[in-house]
Amino acid sequence: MPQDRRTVARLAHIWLALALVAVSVLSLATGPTGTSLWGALGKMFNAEPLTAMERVVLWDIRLPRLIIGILVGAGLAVSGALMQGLFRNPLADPGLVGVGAGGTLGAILAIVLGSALPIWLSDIVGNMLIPVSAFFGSWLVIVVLYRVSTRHGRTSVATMLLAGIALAALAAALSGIVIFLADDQQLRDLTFWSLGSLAGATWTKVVITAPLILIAIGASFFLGRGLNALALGEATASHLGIAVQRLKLVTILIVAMATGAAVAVSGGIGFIGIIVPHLLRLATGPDHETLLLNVALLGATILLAADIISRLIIAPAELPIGIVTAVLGSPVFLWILLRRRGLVDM
Amino acid sequence: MINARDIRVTFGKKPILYGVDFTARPGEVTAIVGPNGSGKTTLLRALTDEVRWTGQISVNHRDIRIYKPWELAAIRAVLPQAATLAFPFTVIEVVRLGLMSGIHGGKDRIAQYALQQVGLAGYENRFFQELSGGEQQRAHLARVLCQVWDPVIDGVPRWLLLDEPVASLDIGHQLLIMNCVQNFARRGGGVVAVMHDLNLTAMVADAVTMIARGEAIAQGPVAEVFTDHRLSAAYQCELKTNAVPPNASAFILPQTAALRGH
Amino acid sequence: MKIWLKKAAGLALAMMPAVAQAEGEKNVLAIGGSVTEIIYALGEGDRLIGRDSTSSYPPEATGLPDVGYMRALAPEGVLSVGPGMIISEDGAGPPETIEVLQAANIPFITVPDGYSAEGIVQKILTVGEALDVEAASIALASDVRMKLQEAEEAADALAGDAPKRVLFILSTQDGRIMASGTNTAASGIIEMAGGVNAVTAFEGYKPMSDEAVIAAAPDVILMMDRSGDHFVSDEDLFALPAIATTPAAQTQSVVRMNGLYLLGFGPRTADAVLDLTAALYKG
Repeated sequence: MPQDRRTVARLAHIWLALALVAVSVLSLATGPTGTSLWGALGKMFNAEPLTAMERVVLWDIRLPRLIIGILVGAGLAVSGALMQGLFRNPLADPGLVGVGAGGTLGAILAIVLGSALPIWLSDIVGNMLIPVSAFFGSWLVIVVLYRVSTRHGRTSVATMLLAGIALAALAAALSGIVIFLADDQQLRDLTFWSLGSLAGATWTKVVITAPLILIAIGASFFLGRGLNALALGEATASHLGIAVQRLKLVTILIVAMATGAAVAVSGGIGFIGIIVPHLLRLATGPDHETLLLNVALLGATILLAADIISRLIIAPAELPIGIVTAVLGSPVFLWILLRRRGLVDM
Repeated sequence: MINARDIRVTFGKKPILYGVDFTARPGEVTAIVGPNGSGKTTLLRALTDEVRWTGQISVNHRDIRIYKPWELAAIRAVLPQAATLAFPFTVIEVVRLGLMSGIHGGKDRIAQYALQQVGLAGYENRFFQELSGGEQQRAHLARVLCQVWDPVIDGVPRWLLLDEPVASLDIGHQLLIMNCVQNFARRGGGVVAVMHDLNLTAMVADAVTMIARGEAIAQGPVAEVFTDHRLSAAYQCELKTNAVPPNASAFILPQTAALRGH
Repeated sequence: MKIWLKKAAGLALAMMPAVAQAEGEKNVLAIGGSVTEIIYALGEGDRLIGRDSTSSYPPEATGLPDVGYMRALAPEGVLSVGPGMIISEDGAGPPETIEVLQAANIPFITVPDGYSAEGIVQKILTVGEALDVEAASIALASDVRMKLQEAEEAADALAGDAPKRVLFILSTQDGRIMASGTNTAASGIIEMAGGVNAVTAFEGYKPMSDEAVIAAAPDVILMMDRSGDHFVSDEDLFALPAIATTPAAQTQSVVRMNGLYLLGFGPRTADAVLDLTAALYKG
């Protein structure tokens, strides 16, 4: 019999925050070049100049990567928890609303057709063509999905589920057509993009994605009560005073923003959205009011840990982070399913 | 006061309610009875705005369409016939959900009292999904009671709308719950309950509305509404009130039961 | 821990704040198989401290740290091998990594692609200039130019009036035939070896429809000799519906050669041309 889980969940805020800080420091302090964080801090403290190497590694490489890692990890995990709350199902994941498929379609279009852009346009967009295109791809799919599932001002979650599957299939088919136009190099670029990576983290990307993801995550903290009520069904939630349609709309928008931005800058990273909320529900209960913050913290921590692995395991080359999360995530997921067999009948 | 005029509900092309009038007064338990498929649950769902209806409904003299969701939640609580639960909440966590829209905020004490009232004291930290059907129904009732814990606030009565609250309970628990519900009404709150069991209705209801084939065929005190003729016509079988069965081996009526120890 | 300390120490020695190139310093990162080959051919192999995943020749190169696939370089990974200079084939990426390397003030010299004898010469000269061994590079370049000329003349002689139509297939995975159109290394080497690219309808390596393959009517199929998953046996190859009706299938003509050797366009290309010509016309 579980004790009152609220206290445990609130204590978890502290533990997880500490864990995140620890992994963040570890992330800044480790890397294949062996550049030392402490050495640099020491120098700064003594007002000594840093070497070019220290500056580049710590400021241009590791720090933006750390920030993007935190944002993407938290964003994906929170999006997963929100999707599960919205669909009232612990197996739901942002991919259900076609965000991933739309993002991939956007990326493919950018990779294959990017060279056809006029020079003045590609100069403006620069390196951001793929992320921007991926982001718009995600949004397009979500907007279409919302329109299709909403009638008379009411969004049917069941319709969203089916329509999401259909739209994802459509996006994949369109991607397939574009892939046929691609040459070998572009296909490889696409493969690497799909496997996910934080290696392309730049300050530009930080500046663009941070507001999107932070606002999304911040807004999600206000949805805790509503999602709890929603667990009893839409009618009951409405009787409890929750504006259900607004809750659905805000949830979808938040997921679109957070996942869209995350996929745009880091490609396809899987499992975080399903594993992290699951683990926390098992440990501290499904109360969304405490769950969402914990999910954000743990998602960021786990992604940073995966990133450290991806950077070191085959140094000086890098393993795409999507592979690390899949390799670590699948056994955990199976373990969760096996353990829960007796507990809950889904 | 809950007042409904000319309520019509259609599902697709099929009309369910053909212009029903309904009234419920605070301080009274108003039951809605009728055979299966008569539309009694649909009437309740119209009152709780779960289906599309035409006509007029007012709660506490205010048109229901004017209320914001949270305003309505502060004055009326709804117990559904069946509910799902998507995640492994504990009993106390589910009951606490009732407190979110009431004025009592997160007072755990109230949640515990509510559980006591429905006979689930000690069940706080058990997983909701592990409870039996009847226990889950009672836990939901505890939640609903939390939502409108004070039956009257500043002279404004609050409402319980219950869809078959005792359907899956054994007779002892049925009595417990009906007692609890009656108590709420005695303290000034209003209760509207769709009821299956005619004996329990007769025992507890102050007013009853009988629905048959989508129309309200009678409304008033129990003795007036429960006539042999009307009941037989509504339920399509020969029903006799206040008659002892001639060759019965045993008959057990809730009216003659007494709760122990409460 | 030890590796990092070693690297940090090596780094401290190699990376003094003003990044000036002392001659003969061991701090060159080579990206691209042909670049690595050229560096070794110039006798400067000792100066290498790293390479990419396509640099498989000479065998000594494989002992160097591998920074991965050249279009997916990790910035810190590249920096960790301690490069004082990076010499790369065209197409290294992603752009974010290149920018970081430039921000670190590491000279990044791109060697242009060129699927012809002149192209190879230019590569050798560019690498030679970067390494400050221009005399050696000029010597190597003229040697290579001479050999290539001889090889091409021999090829033309054998081809005569009836050059063979050659289809280069990159892969047949998922039942899709990825073949070489014009303006690729494969197309270049085929022309140099006295053959004719059976495909002229598109540029680059693209998937071809079965009917297009049949219409191309190649006399010979040319492939890289891959092992493992990418390996397609002759039997499986000629069983493919697109290929089964081609003249190549009728004469069972398939040529397999090492990828870097055949397509690298580096110092060994003259030999590759001779080998390919022999395979096309005498095999």
